[in-house]
Amino acid sequence: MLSEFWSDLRYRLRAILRRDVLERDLDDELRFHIEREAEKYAAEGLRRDRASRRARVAFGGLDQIKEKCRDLGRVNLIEDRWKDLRHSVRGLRRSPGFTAATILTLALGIGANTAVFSILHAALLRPLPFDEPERLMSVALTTPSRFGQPPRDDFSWSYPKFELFREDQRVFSDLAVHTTETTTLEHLEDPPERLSSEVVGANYFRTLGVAPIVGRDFSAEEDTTQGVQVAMLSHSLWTRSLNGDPSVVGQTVRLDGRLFEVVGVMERGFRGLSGAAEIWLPSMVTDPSDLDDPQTHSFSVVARLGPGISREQAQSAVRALGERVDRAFPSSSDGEPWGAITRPLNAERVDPMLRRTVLVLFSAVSLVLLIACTNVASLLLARGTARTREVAVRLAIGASRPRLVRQLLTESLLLAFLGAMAGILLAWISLYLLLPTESGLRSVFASIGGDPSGLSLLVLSSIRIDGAILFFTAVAACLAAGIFGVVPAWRASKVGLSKTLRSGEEAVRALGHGRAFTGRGLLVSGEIAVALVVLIATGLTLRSLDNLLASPIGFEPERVLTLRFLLPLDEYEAEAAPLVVDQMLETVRAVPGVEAAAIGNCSPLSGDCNATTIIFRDRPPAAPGFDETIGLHQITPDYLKTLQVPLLEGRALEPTDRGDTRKVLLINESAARRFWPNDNPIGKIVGVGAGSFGEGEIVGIVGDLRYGTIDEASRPDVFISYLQTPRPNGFLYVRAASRSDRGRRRGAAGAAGGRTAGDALGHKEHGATGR
Amino acid sequence: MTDEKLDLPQGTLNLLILKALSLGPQHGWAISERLHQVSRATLQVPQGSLYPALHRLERRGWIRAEWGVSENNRRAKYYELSRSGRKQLAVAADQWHRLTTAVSLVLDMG
Repeated sequence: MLSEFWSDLRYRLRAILRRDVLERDLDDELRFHIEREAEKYAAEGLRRDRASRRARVAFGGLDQIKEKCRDLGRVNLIEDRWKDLRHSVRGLRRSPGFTAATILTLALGIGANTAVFSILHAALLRPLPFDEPERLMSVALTTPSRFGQPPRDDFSWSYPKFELFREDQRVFSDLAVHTTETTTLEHLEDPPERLSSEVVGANYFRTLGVAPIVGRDFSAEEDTTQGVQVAMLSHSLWTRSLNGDPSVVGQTVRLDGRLFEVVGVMERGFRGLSGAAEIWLPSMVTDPSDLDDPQTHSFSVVARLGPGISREQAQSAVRALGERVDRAFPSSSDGEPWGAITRPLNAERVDPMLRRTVLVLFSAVSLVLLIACTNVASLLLARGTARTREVAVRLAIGASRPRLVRQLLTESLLLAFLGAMAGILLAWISLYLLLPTESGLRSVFASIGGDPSGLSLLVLSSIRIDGAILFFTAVAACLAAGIFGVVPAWRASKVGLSKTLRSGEEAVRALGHGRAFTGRGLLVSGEIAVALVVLIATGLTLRSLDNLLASPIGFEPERVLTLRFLLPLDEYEAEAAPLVVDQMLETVRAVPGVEAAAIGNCSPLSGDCNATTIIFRDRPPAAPGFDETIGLHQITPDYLKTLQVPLLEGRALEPTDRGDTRKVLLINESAARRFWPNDNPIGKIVGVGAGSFGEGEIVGIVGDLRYGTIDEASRPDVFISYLQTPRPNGFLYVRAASRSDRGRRRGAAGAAGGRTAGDALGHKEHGATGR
Repeated sequence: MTDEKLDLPQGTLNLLILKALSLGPQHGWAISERLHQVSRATLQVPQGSLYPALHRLERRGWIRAEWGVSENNRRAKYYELSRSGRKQLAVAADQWHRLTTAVSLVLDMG
C-alpha cells in the first residue's frame, strides 16, 4: 500500500513537472491507436480515408478521453483539500469530547514549546538589535592569574591603554568605550529617580549603528574635552519623565547634583549594550584621576570590523597590539604579560550557564510534546477503530487508499493547527504573567550567580512572540501531526474490504489482535518511558533547589529592608560623612516599628563585593598559591544586630570606634580558620589592602555570611568600621519589629534617610530607593 | 454480423488489463485486440475507457510504461506488469473467482 502511495506521488510530480512532454506523449499514444485501427479496417478492404474516419469514430471523443487522462495527473490540490477539510470539521464536530481532549493536549504540548522557544530565540538566536551585528566585536584585556584568581580574558581597559590601542589599530572602522553606572536624575517636584546609565565614548552609537531620533549624536570634541556635561536620553525616559517634549534638546537636567545639557533622544527600544540604560553620558565625565591612570581599569570596548576585514585578521592584529599596550603600560607585578583579545559580540550573548539552562529547558518541553503526541496518537487509533465501517464503505465505492490516507492526515493537521493556536495563546499568557520585569531579571541574576554577564539583560528583555516564533510553532504543529497522525491513518485505511463489511464487531476484534495490538502497546510503553524521564529529571532538579534553599546563609533576612543610598559626589565632604551617617541612623531608628538599623557597603548574596589582600606583619611571606584574598566590608556597629549575624568571640564594633581612634577590625569564621588555624586572632594586628587604610587590630570574630552565591563556599571576610572609612554610597539595612506595615516602613525609612542626608548637607535632594 | 457485446462490470477492466499484460509487455492497441480475440469476440473494450484505465493503473504503480518501437516501426508506448501489479493480479483474480462462484451457486439454487 505504501508503494501505491509512492508511485501515485511520483506520477503526479511527473505530471506537474513535465506537463508538455506528457501532453505530447498522450497525443502520440492515442494517435498510434487510431492509426492501427484504421489500418485494420483498410486491411479489411475499406478505402483509406473511410478507414481513418471509421477508426476515429469508433474511438470516441478524442478530446474527452484526453481530458480524462489528464485528470489523472491533475493535482486538484485546493479543491480536494477543501473537501477533506470540510469533512474533517464535520467529523470533529460530531465527537466534541475527543476533539476537546486532543486540542487541549496539543495546546499544552505545543504551547510549552512556543514559550520556551521564545526564550531560546531571544537568548541564543535572534540577531542583536544593532546595525550588521555580526561585524561587532568586543575587545578585552587578558590577564595572568593574580590575587589567587584564575587568568581572565574579559578584563576591562584603562583609558590610557585604550587611547594607545585606538591610535595604533587598523582593523576596526569604529570603536568605543562603555561602562555601566547608576545616575540620579533630580526633578523639580517629584522625588529623584535612580537610573541605569552608561558612560560611553562619543562614537558609541555610531559603532553600534544607531542614531538619535531627536537632536544629535555626541560629537568628537565631547570625546576629548574633559568635564563636558552633555547627556543623551533614552526614549522611555523621554516619554516618561519629560513628557516626550520635542524641545527637550538644549534643556538642562540635574544628574548626581551636576547640570547636564540634553543633546538628543535615542530611538524607541534602544537601551544600550547593558540592556537597561536610560541615559548616556560621554566618557569624559569620568573623574580625571581615573581617566589618566593607566592602572584604573573600568571600561569595556566595543568595535566594528572594518570593511573587508575578517575576524581572524582582527584577532591577530589585536593580539599584537595587546603586547604593545602592555609594554607601554605594564600592569603585572611578577612579569607575566597582559594581552588583548577580541571576540564577536554575539559570542558573549549569554554566559554558558544560562545557555545550558535554556537548552535543557528546551529538551524538556520537546519531550513533553512527544508525550502529548503519543497521547493523541492513542486517541486517534481508538477513533480509527470506531470508524472502520465508514472507511470500508468509502473504499468500496471507489476511493483510493492514498486519497483516504490524505483525508485522515488532513484531519490530523487540522487538529494540530487548532492545538497550535490554542498553544500560542497559552504561551503568550504564560510569558506575560511569568516573565519578570527588568528589575526582576536583575534579582534573578543576582541570585543565580552575580552580575548579568555580557548581553544577558539585553537579550532576555527582548523575549517576545514574533514571526520567527510563530513559524517555529507551525513547523512544530506539522511535525506533531506527522508523528501522531501517520500511524493511525495508515492503520485505519488498511481495512480488508470483505472482512469489514461482514460485521463491524468482527472487524473490531480483528483489529484488536495481531499487529494493531502491538502498535498500541508500543505507544503506551513509549509514553510512560518518556514521562518517567521527565519526572525523574524534575525530581532531581527540585531536590537540588531544596538543598540550595536550605543552605545556611549566615544571617536572618526576614523582616529586613534594604535601601540603597547615594550621596551626590561634589557636595560630599569626607569629614562630614560620619555625621551624616549618624544622623541618618538616628532618624531611621526613631521611626516606630524599627528594631535596628545599620549601614554596609555591599549586600549579602549579591556577589559584587570588594576584595583585597590581607597583610601580615608577624609571619613570613606566604607560599605561592596561598590565597590571601579577603572580602572587604565597611559596616556600622549595629550591622550584626540588624542582620542577626552571630558574634563568636571578642567584641563587635562600637560607636566609639571612629576616625580618630585606633583602627579595629572584625573577621569572620572562615578567615579565622584559614589564617590562624592554631592561634587566637583576637588582638593581632594586620594590614588590610595596599591602600590608605593601613593596619588594624582584630577585636572580634563573627559568623560566616554568604556574600557570593548560595552554592559557593564562604570566603574569608574582614569588617572595618564605616565610621573609620566613610563612603558616599552604601546600603541601609532596617530590621522591622513586625511583618505588617512593610510598605509603611519602607516609605518612612526611605523618606527619613533622604531627608536626613538632605538636612545635614543643606537643601539638596538625594537619591534613596527602598527595596 | 451483430456483435453481442457485454458490458464490463465496474472494476473488471483493471483485472483484464493486468492479465493481458501478464504474458508480456504490450502497447494499448495490442491489449485491446488481444482481449477481443481471446474472449472469442465477446468482449469489446470501449476504447474510451481503455486509456484512462491504463493511466490509472500506471499511477497506482501496477504497470509501468516505456516508449519503444512497434512492430511496424513506429513509436509506441509499451506497458509492462510490475511486481506489485503481479500481486494485485493474483488478488483480483482470486476475488473474481470467489465472487462468480458465489453468484453461480445462488443462481443454481433452483
